[in-house]
Amino acid sequence: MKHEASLDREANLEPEDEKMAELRALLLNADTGAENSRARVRERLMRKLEKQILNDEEKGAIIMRKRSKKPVIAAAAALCLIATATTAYATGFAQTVLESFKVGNIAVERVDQLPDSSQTAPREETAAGRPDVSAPRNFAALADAQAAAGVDFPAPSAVPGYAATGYSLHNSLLEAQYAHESESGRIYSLLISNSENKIQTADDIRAVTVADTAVYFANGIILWEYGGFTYELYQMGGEDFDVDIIAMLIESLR
Amino acid sequence: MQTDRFELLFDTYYGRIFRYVRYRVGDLQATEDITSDIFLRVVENYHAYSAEKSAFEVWLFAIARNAVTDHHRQTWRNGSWLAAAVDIESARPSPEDGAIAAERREYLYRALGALREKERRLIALKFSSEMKNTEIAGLLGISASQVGVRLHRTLRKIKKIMERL
Repeated sequence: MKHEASLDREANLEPEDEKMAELRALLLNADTGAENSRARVRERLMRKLEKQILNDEEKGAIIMRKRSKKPVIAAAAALCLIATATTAYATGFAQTVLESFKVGNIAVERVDQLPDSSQTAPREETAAGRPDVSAPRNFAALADAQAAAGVDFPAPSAVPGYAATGYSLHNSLLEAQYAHESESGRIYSLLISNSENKIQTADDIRAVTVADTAVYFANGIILWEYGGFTYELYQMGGEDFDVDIIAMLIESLR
Repeated sequence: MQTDRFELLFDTYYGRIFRYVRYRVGDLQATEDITSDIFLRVVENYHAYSAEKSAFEVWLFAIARNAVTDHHRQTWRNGSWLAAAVDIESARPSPEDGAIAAERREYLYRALGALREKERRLIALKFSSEMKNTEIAGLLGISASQVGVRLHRTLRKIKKIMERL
């Protein structure tokens, strides 16, 4: 085996000629067919996500035996529910907005139909510089997540029987995760944000006043606003939280 | 994972992941399938990612590497890469793409097909992930110097193969 220093020398000895530079450029820029395949890849991914959800539902609906599956449900539910204005497009797709309102910083639209998730516009590759895609930062303590974010995200007390298991910071959004203390698979996530977002749903939206606060139920997600922050509650496993529990969560913020 | 986070992640890394897989497996259909699998695994495991342990790209391309390895375990046959790589679609010039570019691409794929698997893995990582040699070194379990040297040797090999075609 060659010594590291000799390897270094070998790597630097030969200056690259023009053809080597061309080869590097070709490897970096050769058309791999990615853009032609983008819609198909996306469609396959959506099918796989949906299939996974259906499998879970067939097994007893949303009861997650492993906590690790939680993000799939959350992401897929959000992907089905939310058609972000920046990405969803529809060729010849006529969508009627039946109802529109805001819950804090989240615009909620009830529409007659959602676009086919596979009909996503091909996009240009991101420009040379990398966008700021920071992975979530995970924290054991709320205070650490708040300090890292520089935002005092107010998190409610845990539902009785549950305990906080961690906090993930996704730029301007805090995800607080809770798990049942004795029954595995009973978990819930609370997304707390103070930035603009948009939700579309084709399902009915139920509005209920709980603890003097307007609370919205849509596609299994419970939404409310408090103190300039919007709360999205995703629950998996066990009985759905009733209004008394929602009231307790809201009251604990005061 | 929030939808906007997923969308950003998909749009940011789709091209690079696709290129990585295409350089590793060649076949277009398999590339599409594996790429979608990789993003599925990302969604499944996103909560487990820790920035303290590794850069996001390193984590992402480790998932991509494992997905390709799984594919090879299932389907590997000698020579299959070359046959797949030069399929009709890859060689056909697009309207924006001249015949010369299509020919160069075909030669490139042929040359990639002639490489050893570990050489192809290095080239795919280097020219799709945008990772530094030190990060690639960590992923492959070799030193950064070795990455530089192997890369240089492999590029020379590709160049020679392409010149013979």
